[in-house]
Amino acid sequence: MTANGIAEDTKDRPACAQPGWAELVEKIRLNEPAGLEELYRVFSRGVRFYLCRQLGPQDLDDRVHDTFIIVAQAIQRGELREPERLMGYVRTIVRRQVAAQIEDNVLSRRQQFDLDWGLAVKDTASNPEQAAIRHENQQLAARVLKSIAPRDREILIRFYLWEQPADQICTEMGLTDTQFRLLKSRAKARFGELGRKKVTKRLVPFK
Amino acid sequence: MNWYLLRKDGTAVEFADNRHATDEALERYSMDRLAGPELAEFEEHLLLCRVCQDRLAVEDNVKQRVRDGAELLLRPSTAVQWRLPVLAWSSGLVAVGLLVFAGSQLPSLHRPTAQPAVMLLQTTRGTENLTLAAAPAGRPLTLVLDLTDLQQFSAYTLEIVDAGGHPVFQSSGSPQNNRVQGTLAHGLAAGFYFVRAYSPARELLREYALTVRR
Repeated sequence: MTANGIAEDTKDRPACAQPGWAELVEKIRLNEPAGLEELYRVFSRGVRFYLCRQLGPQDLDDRVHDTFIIVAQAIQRGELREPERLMGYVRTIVRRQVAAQIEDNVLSRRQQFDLDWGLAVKDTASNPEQAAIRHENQQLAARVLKSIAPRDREILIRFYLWEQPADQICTEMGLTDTQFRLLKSRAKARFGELGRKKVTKRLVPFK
Repeated sequence: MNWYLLRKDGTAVEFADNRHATDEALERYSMDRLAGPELAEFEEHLLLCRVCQDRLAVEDNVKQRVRDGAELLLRPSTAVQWRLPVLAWSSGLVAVGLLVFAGSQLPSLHRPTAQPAVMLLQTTRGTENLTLAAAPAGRPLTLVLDLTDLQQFSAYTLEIVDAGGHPVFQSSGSPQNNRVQGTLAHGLAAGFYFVRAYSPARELLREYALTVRR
């Protein structure tokens, strides 16, 4: 295991095998369609996942598309000097996209407030349908949480809600580090499993 | 074919045939606790690795569900017996993602004390769970801003503006444990506010939406 939390084992796996960056960058630099296709194939899911997680699904396709255009154009302008840093470069562009979008949101909100013709504050509360769905999900989660063992529940709440560090949880609950990891892992698995069961039950009301 | 190493409880821990994020790294990333080179390495891996994307989605989901469920269970009005220390928390999310929790102990919620309600302002991701968080109106309020991912300074200015953009509160403070806080002795009137964090050079670093309700 490296210090950065990535398990150390160097054999390739199809899921995240890294292509030859230098070759790929060269193809993009020469504006070869195969290079652009490969860039998209390698990064599209990751970029989409990252942007969606950070900004939500709104305008997602456009954002992913913009990101690839920025990356491809930058490479063609020769801005990526070290092809093996392509992955880091893509990450930088994606992060900039996220930062720019957040900045835009702040600015547009401020501009809305500057309008002199009455105060228009967007109602950010959920609509009744969303609120009902959220409430139902919350109740389901509460039921699942209530149904797991008290010690498992305590670990999950301390860890996820109160964000207590592992040391504190271990001290206050009288656990060793290993016990804590095992219990937490078991609690998460149990929580997920019961949640799935409850959802399935709800979806199949008739037998 | 993908081969996973499975623990006794059936949880995939790490993979025998490649480099993948550990459970711990995933959890820390999901909770915005990775920074610096660690964060860079993780995100670069994440951009390429479908397996870790899926694992992170599951981790995010578990985290959110636990928070949702616990919030409901720990509400003072919910008569649930707990083995946990008697702490009551109110939580919710504001606009772009504001996690709020009351840090006072359960009995104090029922006492007319002047103890401030403590609210932790954090950014969260996505549109999931955009419930408005509400601070109690007219009650002393301590706002704690999470500085994760922000440029480090020796001091930050905290400003609160009302819905019309008019400043109603300002204070400066030094960060501790990557957080900076400000206390409003008389709290805020009910309404909609924005909480802003500035650098010493008055550069806007982050903004949160805040609702105060009676």
